[in-house]
Amino acid sequence: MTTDARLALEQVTKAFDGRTVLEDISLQLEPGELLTLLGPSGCGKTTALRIIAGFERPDSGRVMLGGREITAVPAHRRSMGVVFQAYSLFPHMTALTNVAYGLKIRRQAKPARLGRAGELLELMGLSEHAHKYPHQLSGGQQQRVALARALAVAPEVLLLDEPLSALDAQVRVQLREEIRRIQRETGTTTIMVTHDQEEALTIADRVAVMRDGLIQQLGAPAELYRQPANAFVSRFLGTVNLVPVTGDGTRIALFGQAVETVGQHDPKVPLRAHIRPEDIELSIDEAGPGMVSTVLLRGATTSIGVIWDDLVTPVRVDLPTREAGGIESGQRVRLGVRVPHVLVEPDPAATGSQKTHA
Amino acid sequence: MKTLRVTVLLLAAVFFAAPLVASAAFGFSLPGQGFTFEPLQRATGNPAFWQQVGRSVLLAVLTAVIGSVLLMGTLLWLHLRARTLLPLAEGLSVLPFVVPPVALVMGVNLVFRAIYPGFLTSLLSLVPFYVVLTMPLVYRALDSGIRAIDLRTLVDAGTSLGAGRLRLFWEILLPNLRPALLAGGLICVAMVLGEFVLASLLLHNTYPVFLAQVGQDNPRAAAALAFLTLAGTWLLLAGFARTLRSERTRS
Repeated sequence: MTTDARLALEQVTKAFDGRTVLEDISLQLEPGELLTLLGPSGCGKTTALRIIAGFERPDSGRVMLGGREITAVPAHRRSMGVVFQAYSLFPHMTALTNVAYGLKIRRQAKPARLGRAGELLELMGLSEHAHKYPHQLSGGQQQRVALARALAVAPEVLLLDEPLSALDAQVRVQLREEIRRIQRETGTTTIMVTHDQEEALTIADRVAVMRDGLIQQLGAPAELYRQPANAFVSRFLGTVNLVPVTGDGTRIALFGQAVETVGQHDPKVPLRAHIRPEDIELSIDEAGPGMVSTVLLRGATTSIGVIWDDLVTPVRVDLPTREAGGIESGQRVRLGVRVPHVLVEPDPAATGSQKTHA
Repeated sequence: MKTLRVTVLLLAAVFFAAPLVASAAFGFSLPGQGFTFEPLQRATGNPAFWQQVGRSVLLAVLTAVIGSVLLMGTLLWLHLRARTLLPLAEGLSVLPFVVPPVALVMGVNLVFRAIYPGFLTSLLSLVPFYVVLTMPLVYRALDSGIRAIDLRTLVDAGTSLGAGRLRLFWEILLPNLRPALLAGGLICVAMVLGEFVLASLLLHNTYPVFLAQVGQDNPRAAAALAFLTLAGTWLLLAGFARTLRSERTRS
């Protein structure tokens, strides 16, 4: 069932009432790939999805599918399945007729389309709810029906617009895994929009981080997490300590240790280093310059707050919980850097303060 | 506190029910004879009665259909394409409440008598007036119906599944907006069956005009008919509410 739908946006721009929402967006998806568009609200990710679906027209640029330009093709003639945030099921139809609706439009005979819809509901584990109306289903069940409905027409591209954001945390994780499984089984090229970085990282083959209508970085989840292209990506994905430092152009002094920076920097400008809590080494040392202020057990990891020098905010260090035994607040410690390169950016505050971004 | 509430309820019930009961009692009885249909039969025996009922029903249906089509089209367009204009449209929709019907009909009368007298002699010339008069209420009925569904998402979902505009409207929007359309239609029926001023001023014989005329020489029949009309409208409303309830609880 794998389609050879190679989907691409080429230099797409879009503005609403003079406000630029998308600025020269280009991206390309391989057949069968799952890409997430990740970013804070208002970054343009949903607009990008709506342009691909055909709900909006770009001001300039092209949408390509399988080598064909579809920019001007109206939404109802594109082969795209869309799952929305919530409340998208037709309230006057049962789960079964909802799923079969796209096939009805494609003039499939009633027994055939209801049969196919039944199969899809079974795939979603919803067989016994087939004859219920949307308002009789839970939020998670409704989203499963919506997914089945989108897949029923065997779309070339599946578009998911924050399909999990209205659900409880537990259902969210479960459905996320299910979406991934079914997407792999059907081999449907998929784009999912989300503002949840964990969701984006766990589900995707590749992630595009967006901000203010621009793609900040596009790459595999591990690449984005380990080698963020800029300070925004670094802060947006996971947790990061922002530590004021000074550098000489290629190296900085961090926790009393010389570390190379990613790329070059201006040595005359005050900098702040981005370092993830799990990339910091911690050793107990009576004469160490740091002092443990808090120890927070999170489960598999333990977060340790360390007061270092004259930094205002404690540095967060994450250790596997089994290595964190015996560490208590008040202890003197020494910190080190576990990674060969550290990302730096000009310090916007440049007052010696330091923050932790979650 | 509770006695106060019960008292108020009883007083209100008496206030609203007493005229009804009184008009029924008056309309369905004759001195010395007790309960009787005689005055009513005399009125309905008049061939003008059925003719004028027919006219009013025709007016009600046309008003409901034309008003709903115009307003539904406008509202869907506003909600999907021009949301920023909605407050303005809502403000405009209450204008008929502000302009008295008498002023409206006098103005139109002056203009049309001069340029196209044939228009006002036709019974159907009442329809545009009735559409305007019912607009504030029909607007609200349809608007709340549209707001109750997630219009944008339903339209996008239907479109993504391949539905064109006609299909979207007939198969997805209409079934979900049916309660609102029915409510709007009922409002039209109730209003047209009770509208006297415009019809009388434009010299058209409709059911309410008939009722007023009958009241002059056969007041008991007028009272009986008024009671039956009111009861009929209530039954329609009750039936409508019941249909809605059973639709919501269907499984």
